[in-house]
Amino acid sequence: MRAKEIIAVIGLFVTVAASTSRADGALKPFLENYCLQCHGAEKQKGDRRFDLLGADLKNHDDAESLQEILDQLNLGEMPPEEEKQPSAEELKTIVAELTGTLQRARTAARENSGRAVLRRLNRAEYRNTIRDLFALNMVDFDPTIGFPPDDSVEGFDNVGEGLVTSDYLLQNYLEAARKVADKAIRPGPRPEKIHFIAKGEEIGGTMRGFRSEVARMTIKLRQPLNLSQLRKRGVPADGEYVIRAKAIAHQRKSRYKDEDLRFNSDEPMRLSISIDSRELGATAHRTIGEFEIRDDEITTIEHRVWLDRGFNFNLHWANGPNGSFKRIMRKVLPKYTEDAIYPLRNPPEMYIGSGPELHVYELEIEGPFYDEWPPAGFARYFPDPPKKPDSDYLDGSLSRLAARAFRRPVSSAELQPYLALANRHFEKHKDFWAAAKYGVRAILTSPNFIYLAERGSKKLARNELATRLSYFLWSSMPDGELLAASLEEPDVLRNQVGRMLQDPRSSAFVENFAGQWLGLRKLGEMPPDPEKNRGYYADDLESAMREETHRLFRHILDGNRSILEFINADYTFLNAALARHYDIPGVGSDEFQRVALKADHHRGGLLGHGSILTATSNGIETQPVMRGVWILENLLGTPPPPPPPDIEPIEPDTRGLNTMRELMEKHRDNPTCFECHRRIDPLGLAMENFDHVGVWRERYAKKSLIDPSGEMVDGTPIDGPDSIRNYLLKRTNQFTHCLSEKLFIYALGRRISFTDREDIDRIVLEVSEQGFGLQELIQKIVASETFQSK
Amino acid sequence: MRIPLIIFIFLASFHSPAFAGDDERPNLVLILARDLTRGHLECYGGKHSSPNIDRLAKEGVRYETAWRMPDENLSKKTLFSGRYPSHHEKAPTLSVLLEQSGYQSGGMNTDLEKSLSFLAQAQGTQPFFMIHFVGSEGAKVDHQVGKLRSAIEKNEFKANTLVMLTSEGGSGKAKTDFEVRVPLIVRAPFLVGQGRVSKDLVDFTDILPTFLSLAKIAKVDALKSDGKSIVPSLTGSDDPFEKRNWICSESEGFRMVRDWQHILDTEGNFHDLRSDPRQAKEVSPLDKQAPGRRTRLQMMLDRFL
Repeated sequence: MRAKEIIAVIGLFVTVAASTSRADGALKPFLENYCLQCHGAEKQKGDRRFDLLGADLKNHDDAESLQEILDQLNLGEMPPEEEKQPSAEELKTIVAELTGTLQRARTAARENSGRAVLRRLNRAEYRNTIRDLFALNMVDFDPTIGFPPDDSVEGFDNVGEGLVTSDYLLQNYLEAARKVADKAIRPGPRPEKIHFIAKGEEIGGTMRGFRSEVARMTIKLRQPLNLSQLRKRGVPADGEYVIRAKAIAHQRKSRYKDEDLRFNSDEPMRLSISIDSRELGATAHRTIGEFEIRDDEITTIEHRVWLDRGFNFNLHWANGPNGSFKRIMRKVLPKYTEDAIYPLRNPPEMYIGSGPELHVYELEIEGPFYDEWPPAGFARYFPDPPKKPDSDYLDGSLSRLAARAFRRPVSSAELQPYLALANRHFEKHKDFWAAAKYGVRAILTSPNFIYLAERGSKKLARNELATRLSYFLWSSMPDGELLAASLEEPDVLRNQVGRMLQDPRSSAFVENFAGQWLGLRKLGEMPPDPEKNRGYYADDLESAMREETHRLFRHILDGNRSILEFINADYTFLNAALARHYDIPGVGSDEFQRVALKADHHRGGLLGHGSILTATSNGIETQPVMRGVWILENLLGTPPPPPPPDIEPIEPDTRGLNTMRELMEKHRDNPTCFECHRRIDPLGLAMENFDHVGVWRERYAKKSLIDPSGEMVDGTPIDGPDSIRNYLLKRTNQFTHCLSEKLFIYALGRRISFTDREDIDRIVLEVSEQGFGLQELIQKIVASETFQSK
Repeated sequence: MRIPLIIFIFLASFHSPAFAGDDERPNLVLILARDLTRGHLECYGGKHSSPNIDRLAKEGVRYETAWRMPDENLSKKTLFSGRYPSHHEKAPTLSVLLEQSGYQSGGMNTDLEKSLSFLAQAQGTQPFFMIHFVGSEGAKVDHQVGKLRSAIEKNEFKANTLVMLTSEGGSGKAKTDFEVRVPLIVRAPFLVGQGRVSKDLVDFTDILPTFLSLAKIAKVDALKSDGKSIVPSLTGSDDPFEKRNWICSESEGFRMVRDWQHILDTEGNFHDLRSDPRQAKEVSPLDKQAPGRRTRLQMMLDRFL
């Protein structure tokens, strides 16, 4: 992939070399004077070497290096302040020259043929495409489950260069196609309904031998109630089911103290429903709903949910006493009666009925229900199947599918092999639907489906543009409306982008783009120690934190609000648990809500988000270097090079004798380290008031006061997160540029090349002048020549 | 003898005009059969037909785990004193306490006709209590229960009458659960809905506190009864703190206690009654629950010392 691109680009550079070679004038002496001591034959700091650089731009990498030199000069980052500095005049000349050289190279590059862009769908895109192709409910169906993870390039997993293909992956494509065909091709009558009801002790999972008209739960989550009829095989067919339950919150206030039971008797009791599948195991387990149950009065709950065949459901007490029932019997009960013995197992009969309990009187499931039969995603390709479907019907159906699956019109010659394959199967086995599935599998394993191919001229064809757009904003295939729209008309394109961002499918953009730009996917890789961070797990703060950041992104996107709110929003989105974690009062509900922030909350913008603060820690303590790098990379767009390979990292100070700052001072002792760490460490240390899970603190555990002060390379004093926010707000251009570049990489599915810079620079300027709206930024990216060309 | 004084003081307060004339307290009828076993009764899974007793059970609460004392005399003493045999001492008995609080006595009859005629003449204005003794033959007990029941049904006070049927056992000294576990059926329309089976633990010390509680003779604790009123159990309370969590059967030099699952006696026999109701097997050393249960039951045995 990358090689192909490079060959194409090298070709074009050879032809433009003659026209640019005269630009050499001022560059060589400038490099010799100011750069080569550190980036020359002897030393290659940051892995950069410029002495072999030909200003004639003999190859693509040279042009990228020149672009980088230009960027560093413009930012004033290089040469470092303690080194010899070029005069203003010299700078002006060299910047003008480099700008001109690169400009000419870009023009030349664009006039020649574009890059052949060919990349395969990544896992998420594959999944979403299957979902939309067959209108399948994918919540619990993941055909990509065995796929190897996709590699990231430049922080994104949809960059063609990283999306390699292997034998192993091909095997998985075959298996996935089989699963999808089985799921999507559903001829025959509507599946029969089931309707199971259990009352009291008939309800599976309850403790028997007590009052038989009620199934009871005495602790949080660990006593699932269910229907014994479903226990072995789950529900019989994919479809929508209705789950009903009658429950009572019993004796919320009891003789037991909350702290003994590890229970909050001030909260209404909540019942949750989870689903799982024996076949799929632990990965398939998830909670689908939570309901408040009234005290001493029957609450009837009814929940509609899509269940795949084989799935079963369980009821739980979501906020019951935390811990095991055994613990209550051994440790709690003896505090309340001298008839119980500590710390041995007392009879459960001594406790049941005496404390808070969630009672379930009746449990019921009914379904499957279908809005339509046959399912839409099946009927779309196999409409009104005749009693004895024949070869013609097979051809017609597979042709309809291929046109959607390949995201473009398909010629009959192209179709022929797929149709022939299916027909041969039909002739041999005389089973029409088996043959149809076989044909579907062939189409789903075709490179035309798996790869996003852009062919022909430099300017994208309409359907290619629709495809690029839909994988940008939906991580999925274009729908009929998008494919039919005259996207070459700017107004139509603009409206389509607006429509797409309002469509629920755009949640894929929030999840995949924001998730990767901000490194949210790293959340959970180094989770906090469960023993020391009980609340983190009890309240599922990881999900809540991720949700907060997604909501902020969504909010800014939906309202076309300024991207600067990522830095200093005076609001955020919290549920009760996360608000407690942040020590922000006034949020009582488990639903997320917008919360206005005050200065003393320290939370405005991404820098105060628990998600980012936790993702940049190692689960035990903060990692100021990670946080510094995170800011440089994701907000300022100036990632430091990785540390030299022969450098030992600073050992963590497990005995806690030194403060983080004292440890970081060691970076100063070694000039090689200090080179980059003088940019990283002040930012990281300024965030030290947020602990490893994002809680605000004034002191370390050892009581020493946290000192967030420092100085940036340019002399700006830094003192805590607010000063970083101000620092960033003085560099809106840099931040906007950083975000635009990330958006471009994600939108194009490739690295940014110096040839794209003109569009990016222009867009940054325009967006800055027009209020920094995020939607506007996306519109401009979509409208750009870079986006619409190969 | 501090106790009788206390009793006297609060009995005095109950034998008061508050109950005169318009006394709504329930009538109490105890039918005490001699050596009637669960095996006699169909409602307990027995082989013999017992239609009248089964009907009583359907109208009230049938207890699965009720213990008498090891023999009939100890059972009687315990019933009337509310205390285990080793705690027996001279004190006012159940019938005395009830009479002093204003109950009309129907006597302690062995003659069915006598009991029936008392029931026929009893007025609704003053509550009564009556104890009827009956022999051990299942069919005879069932017949008499039927007669007594219809006599009560004929009266206007039928809804306000508690009928308790149980057995005091025989002359031999019982030493196992299956010997002392007797039928116990309570029909009390003013308290209980239809036909419940209870696994609550009850023994003969609980009868006196139950009757005193129904007769609104408060502070029964002051009587130092070893038992607990089963009124919460009858009304269907869920709360184990209002009920027994062990029961005991005791004779001279021997004592056994059980909970809902295990039994332990002073001779060191320990069994899991759920898996071993005939008390024939050792509890498996692999049973992780058993040691805790045994320790707790031992604590109960030791409390008598």
